[in-house]
Amino acid sequence: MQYVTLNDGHKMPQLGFGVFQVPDLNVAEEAVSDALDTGYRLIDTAAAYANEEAVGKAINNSSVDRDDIFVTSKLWVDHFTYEKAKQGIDDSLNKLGLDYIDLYLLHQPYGDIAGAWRALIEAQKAGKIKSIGVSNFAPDQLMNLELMSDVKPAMNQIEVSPWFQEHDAV
Amino acid sequence: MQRGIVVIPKSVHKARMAENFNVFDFNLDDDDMKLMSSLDKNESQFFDHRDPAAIESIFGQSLKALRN
Ligand SMILES: NC(=O)c1ccc[n+]([C@@H]2O[C@H](COP(=O)([O-])OP(=O)(O)OC[C@H]3O[C@@H](n4cnc5c(N)ncnc54)[C@H](OP(=O)(O)O)[C@@H]3O)[C@@H](O)[C@H]2O)c1
Repeated sequence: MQYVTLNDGHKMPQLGFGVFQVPDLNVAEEAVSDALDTGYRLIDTAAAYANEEAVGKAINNSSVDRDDIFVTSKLWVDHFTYEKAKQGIDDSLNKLGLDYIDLYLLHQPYGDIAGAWRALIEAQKAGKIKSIGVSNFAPDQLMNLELMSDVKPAMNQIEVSPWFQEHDAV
Repeated sequence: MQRGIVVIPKSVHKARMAENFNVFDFNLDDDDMKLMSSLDKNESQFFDHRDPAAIESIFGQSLKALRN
């Protein structure tokens, strides 16, 4: 596996496995087990994918060490206030059944971003999350977040494909 | 990956997971990378994240829940 080093020093596998649009928990659990067998060490889920339980089960039942697996999850926009974000982080941890999440993202750039971001920073300090970041932020929204806070996101997860290469953002 | 980006393909089929994982034994040369660059249509396969009408239709329910 190849790794990238995030701006907070944590290492992240450069190739991972996503579970968007796999709402059936049995299918999702089997897919993650198969992915771990295949050699994937990064699993990308989200509260909105409604399969964090299945991801956690597959990881906890795997012979691969937890520390060798990098788990990403994301806070959904209906939790984008400081108070709701704190609850959302704990919900993700409970559903995953894990002691920590490697990377937790603000899934979309809408709502009280400053409040939700503050909750992520606190959860990171408390050891619940190793790295914090965002998703679907346009370059100017990223710049604005950096002006709101001393903590810079370690990741901006965005759509990139041969047809949508995003050379300005990446 | 040669652009330094982390990639996260999804499949529920184990053979496809293996196919997508099988990327560590080759490199695209500069000409290949230029050819890939030329494929860009600068068009999302999802929706325009800066269009309020698209945001409302996709996230409307969740944003309503946020306000309550
Ligand atoms: N942050 C965000 O807002 C956001 C948005 C979209 C996606 N994501 C993340 O990115 C991940 C990937 O995106 P995605 O799931 O939309 O798209 P994707 O990885 O491009 O997969 C799209 C479809 O292609 C099929 N496929 C995969 N490998 C294949 C192969 N080797 N041959 C033929 N078909 C193949 C899969 O079907 P089968 O399962 O039937 O094989 C899958 O349903 C997601 O799972 C999620 O983790 C994040």
